[in-house]
Amino acid sequence: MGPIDMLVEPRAECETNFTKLSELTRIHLSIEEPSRGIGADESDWIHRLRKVCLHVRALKGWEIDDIDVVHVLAPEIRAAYVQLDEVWQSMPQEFKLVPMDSDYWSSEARAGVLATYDHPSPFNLIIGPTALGSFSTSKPDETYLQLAVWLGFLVLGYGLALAYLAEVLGAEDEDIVSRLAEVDANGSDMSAVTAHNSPTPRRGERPEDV
Amino acid sequence: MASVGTVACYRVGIANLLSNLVEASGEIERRLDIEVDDSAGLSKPEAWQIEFRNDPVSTYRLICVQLLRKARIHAVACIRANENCNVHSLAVQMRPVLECAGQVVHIFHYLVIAPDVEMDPERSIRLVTDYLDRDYYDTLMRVTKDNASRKKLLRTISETARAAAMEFGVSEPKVRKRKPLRQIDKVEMLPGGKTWYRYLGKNFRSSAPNWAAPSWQGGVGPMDITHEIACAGLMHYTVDQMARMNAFASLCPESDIAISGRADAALAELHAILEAFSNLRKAVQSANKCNRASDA
Repeated sequence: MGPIDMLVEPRAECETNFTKLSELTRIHLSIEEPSRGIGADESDWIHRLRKVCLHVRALKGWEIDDIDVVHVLAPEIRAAYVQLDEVWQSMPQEFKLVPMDSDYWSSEARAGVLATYDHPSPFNLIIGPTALGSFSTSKPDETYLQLAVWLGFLVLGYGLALAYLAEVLGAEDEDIVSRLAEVDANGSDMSAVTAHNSPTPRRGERPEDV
Repeated sequence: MASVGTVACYRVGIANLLSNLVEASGEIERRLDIEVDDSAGLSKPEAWQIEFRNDPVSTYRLICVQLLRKARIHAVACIRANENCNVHSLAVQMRPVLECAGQVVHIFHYLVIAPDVEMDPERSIRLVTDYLDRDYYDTLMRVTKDNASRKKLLRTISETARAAAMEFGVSEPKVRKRKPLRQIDKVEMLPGGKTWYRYLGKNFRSSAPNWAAPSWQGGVGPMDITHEIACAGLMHYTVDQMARMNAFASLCPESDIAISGRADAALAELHAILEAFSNLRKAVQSANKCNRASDA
């Protein structure tokens, strides 16, 4: 694989994930009306998911061709991860389709690379590697790859949380289930979990496969 | 309370101001004219150390250009968040703008304005070099994931500081314990910087905000006029600090030539923006009065 192919693939993956995230926000708004007020006795994670939705919506419409866009996307992804960390902990095991490290969201958001894009400093911008929040352009493929991974996990976490939200708010009708399934790359995982047919992760599935 | 139309008008006006400031910062960056891409080998510390030894002023040009560029990218995102009335997005995008602005103000205030006016030039320059040393240390520790030898790194910093002191003809700096550079330190030089930084952290990054609170306190309730007011407030502060950043960035020397007269020009630019700001506010207040009168 040549350097150009290496670049196109993660970039295409980013585009695909953007489309999926966009569809997930539409699904979210059909599960939970935007005009719905905040109930005093409602679970905290439902509101956290609303905040995730706001940050995901902010990702929409940015041109991925310019690698500088990662500077704009990273703070939004980071803010969504902070909330997903708490949402993930509130989700029952059967909705967590993939056996991922439960600290993933918080460690990536608080101490990982994402944080460096949020806190610019002279030397970080000058000497930090591209993948650490600088403007260096020598290895854009690595940055695209990193971005594709962040977005992929966002699709995964947000999608599964929506499946749970649909159940909690009693919105798990066929339309929602099939739309969530469509967003999912494999086409079956989310519908399975929403229909409670697959309480455990599929055998042999690893987080890095998603 | 302000009407929806008035607030919307204000948001459009303030977005135009920010847009002008983005353009102005691009203009300053072009004027500073320094190669920032990696083809210059600037990502290798040893390469740029040699480059800067030949032209010490270019260090500040490069720092200025990088901070302006970063602030501009996030300011554009702020404009978009304001358009979409997305307070949460605006809050996360304005923070890097403030950090960049605070650092530009810190560096060029102590480098250009403070010497002889506020303090002894030697002390003033030391405040800049200390800041950069702290950042250099933190960045290298982060890049090497804490694997770099702290002792060696501090020794390198001391040696560089001593060499720089000799070059500028000032006394040798004292070797002191490293003081970590906190994120909030970056906005210290902005008026109300620390208060705003804490406000953004408490309401938009906190792990337990009040979700039912108005959006300017981090709430996620249904869209109403409080979202618009919150956007207007956040944009207001962002515009103010972006204008300040541009004014101080204008003080960055373009080359080794003297920088006399630059302070006046930069302050004039800042005053022009603040005046436009005040006019916009007056226009909104008068529109608001008219609305109230017609409602009555």
